[in-house]
Amino acid sequence: MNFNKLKKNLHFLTPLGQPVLAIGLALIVGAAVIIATGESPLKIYGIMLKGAFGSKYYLLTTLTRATPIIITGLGAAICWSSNYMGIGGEGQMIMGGFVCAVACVHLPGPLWFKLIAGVILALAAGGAYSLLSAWLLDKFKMSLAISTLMLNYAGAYIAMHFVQNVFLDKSGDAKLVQTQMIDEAIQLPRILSDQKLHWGFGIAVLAVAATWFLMNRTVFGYEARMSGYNIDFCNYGGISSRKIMYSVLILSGVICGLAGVIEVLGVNYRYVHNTYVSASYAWIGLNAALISGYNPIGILLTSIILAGISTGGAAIARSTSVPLEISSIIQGCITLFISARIVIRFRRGKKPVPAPLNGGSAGRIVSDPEGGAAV
Amino acid sequence: MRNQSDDVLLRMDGIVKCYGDLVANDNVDLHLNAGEILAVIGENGAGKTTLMKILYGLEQPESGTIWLKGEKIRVRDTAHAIANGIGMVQQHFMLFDPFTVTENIVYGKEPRRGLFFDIDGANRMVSDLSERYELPVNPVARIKGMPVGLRQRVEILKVLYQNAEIIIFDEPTAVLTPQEVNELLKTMRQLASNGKSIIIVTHKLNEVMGVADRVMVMRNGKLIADLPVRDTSIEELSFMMVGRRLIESAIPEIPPGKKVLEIENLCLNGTGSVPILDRVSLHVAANEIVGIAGVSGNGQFELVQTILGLIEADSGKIQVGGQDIFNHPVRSVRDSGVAMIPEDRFIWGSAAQAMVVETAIMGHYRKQEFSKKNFLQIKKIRSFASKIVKEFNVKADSILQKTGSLSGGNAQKLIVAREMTQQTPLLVACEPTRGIDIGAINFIHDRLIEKRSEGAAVLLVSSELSEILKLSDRIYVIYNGRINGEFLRGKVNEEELGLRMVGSIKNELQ
Repeated sequence: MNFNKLKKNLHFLTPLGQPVLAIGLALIVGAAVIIATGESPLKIYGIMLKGAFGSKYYLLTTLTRATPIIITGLGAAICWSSNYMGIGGEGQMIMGGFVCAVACVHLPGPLWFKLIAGVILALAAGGAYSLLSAWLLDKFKMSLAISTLMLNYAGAYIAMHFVQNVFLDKSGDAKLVQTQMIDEAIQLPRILSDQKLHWGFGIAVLAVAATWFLMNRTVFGYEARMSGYNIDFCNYGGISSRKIMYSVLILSGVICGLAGVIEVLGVNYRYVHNTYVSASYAWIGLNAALISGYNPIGILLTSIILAGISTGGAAIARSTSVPLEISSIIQGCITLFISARIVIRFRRGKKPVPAPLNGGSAGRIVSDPEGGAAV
Repeated sequence: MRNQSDDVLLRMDGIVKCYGDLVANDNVDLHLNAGEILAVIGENGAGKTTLMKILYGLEQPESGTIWLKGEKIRVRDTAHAIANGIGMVQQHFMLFDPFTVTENIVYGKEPRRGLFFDIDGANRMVSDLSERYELPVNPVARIKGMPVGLRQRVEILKVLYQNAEIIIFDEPTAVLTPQEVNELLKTMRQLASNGKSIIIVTHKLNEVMGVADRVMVMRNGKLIADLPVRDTSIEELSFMMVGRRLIESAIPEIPPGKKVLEIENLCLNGTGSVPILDRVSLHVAANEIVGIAGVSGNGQFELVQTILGLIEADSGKIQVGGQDIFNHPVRSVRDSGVAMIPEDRFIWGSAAQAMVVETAIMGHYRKQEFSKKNFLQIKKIRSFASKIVKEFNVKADSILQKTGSLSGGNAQKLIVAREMTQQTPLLVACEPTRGIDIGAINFIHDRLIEKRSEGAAVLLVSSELSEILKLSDRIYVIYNGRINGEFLRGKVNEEELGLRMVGSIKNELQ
């Protein structure tokens, strides 16, 4: 009886069980790989932990890296929790970053105007880019997964084309495809003057709170989440599933666009071709959203852990013979073990959840993320 | 007579099963003789399904023993149960729609020729089986599009194919039409006379009286009685099940008020050659319950879905309180004062993953008391959910638990509560009491009558004729998408309705 009481009291922790278990298992797999390279896992993980969170410098580097991951994670969570499995965060982030960087340099008028107009245009660009996929789905029943994935590549090359041929910064290294630097006055200030971390991280934390509020305390959030659970139920309740589809996809695009804006204003101060792609921010963000079951607060924590694995991975690559890829292996395994949850539930097969009739996207995974949703 | 012997085939002794603090089975004993039909009855949450899950290996008991043919066994899982000759026909069918009858039946134990699946052999085995037990099916037909009764027959054949000696039926009639129920009861007798032993879990007492040899009554996890059917009566059983006498409330006579729902010449062509709805005209007035009787599949569900705006009709007129709602979107129909209990609780009525509190406000969350300027009023929503859960006696640990973790009957009560507590001038109730126990059925009937007394118009669609006859002030019969007769309360009996439901025509208002 005592144990049952304890279980009841700790009930709110259950959403954490799965991610913690997955991270633990992934670290075990990582350990096996490290042993294969002839090193001691404990030593390597020690270096990794230090390299990620061990000093003020490393910790702030990790948080800087976590910022775009948190924001794209929120973007992904919003459309995925309504069962629209868009994977176009990267393209939308590129659109946001590119438009912001160009507008903040080339728009006429005073700096404050450049900044405000740049941010608004950038968010609109992210949203519009996602709207394109939504429209293709609505009009032509084109699989959302395919259109968003393909538009990631298209986005990267559209931006590259314009940077290379129109907005190229000719003053710097000729090999770099990048725009001119934005004025120092409109750059995001740093939180501590001698460290990289900028106020974009603060914006990301605010975005976490705002997303939680939106999803759990507003009519829109209720409609969006219910659509993810059972579309027939929503139709019956008077929710227009088409309206929800457009709104969540546009909103998700706007948020991913914000990730690009913050990278431009806080980190690179310009748009540099390939930086978002090679860092895989949006993909790691999507991972964070999946791991935390679309729970915004969970996304904040997991993004920091995943960013830590990347910065920690860089640390071990610098000081040991273990390759950088170890961090990718661990991240990959975490996602793998998280998705195992879907399979385990499916196998235990309580009640088969009635599959929605009209396919909103390529394949609807019947998953049961135990997000912190609380009406 | 059937070859019923007194050899005990199965015995479960002192079964105890707890879920947390809840004792689902409290020292329950069960025995089953060869060739016997045993009915296990009880209200929702009485523990009958838990007991069957233990027998079928889906749950492990805390204590207690199971003896099969004099040998002590522990049923580890369902595969083990099947290997021991225990089969179960589930309440929710587990069939693959795109596959054929044969493929579904032999799935998991396919006959092979060398490395390959022996499809001809399988088809032959299925037709043999279907002949032997007089359960006609077409082995090569696909499941998709089959009526529920036929699907259930496939499930039964699947259990027989697995060589089950003991067949458990879990609420088998919950989803069947009256005709299909009769078929099924006949099948059960047939199976018993072939030497199979049958356990039927149900709360429909007339079925128990019609088919079972012996009945076990459970209440609150305990075995209340175990007695031969011939020594008892429906009244006695329902008293034992509910623990109190049910009082049939009289329906007060109230003259109907103003017309609330008016439908004229509603047509829905559909994709087939025959229209789904053909010039349907009907009306429901305030202070009136109007029943729609019909065999499932004659357009009654399409009719209500058209009213709510889920399906676009081709022509006609629908008005609620004088306001046109023909082909309006669901939201504006609901805003005009319509509440609806949908016919399927897990498809339309709720989302399994949504919390009880979230299910409790669907369709009404935009109302003043639940949201202001698009912000949810969490405190008010929660206290509303707690209130209706209590009022309608929905058995839930917390309003924050998932709706899917409620039993079917409790989920239904939650949905009924949601749609009834809204003060709408029109309530459309589709199968409001499908699959729930007598106590709850009476409760819901009383609330429907109360709703009518308060001045609401109620359109009742039900495949339970007794429900239609008990509640309705006026009855329309629907057949092939057409209204085939209209009757006032007391001016028609079950036989007449039954004839109208299968197409007999004699069109005058009685």
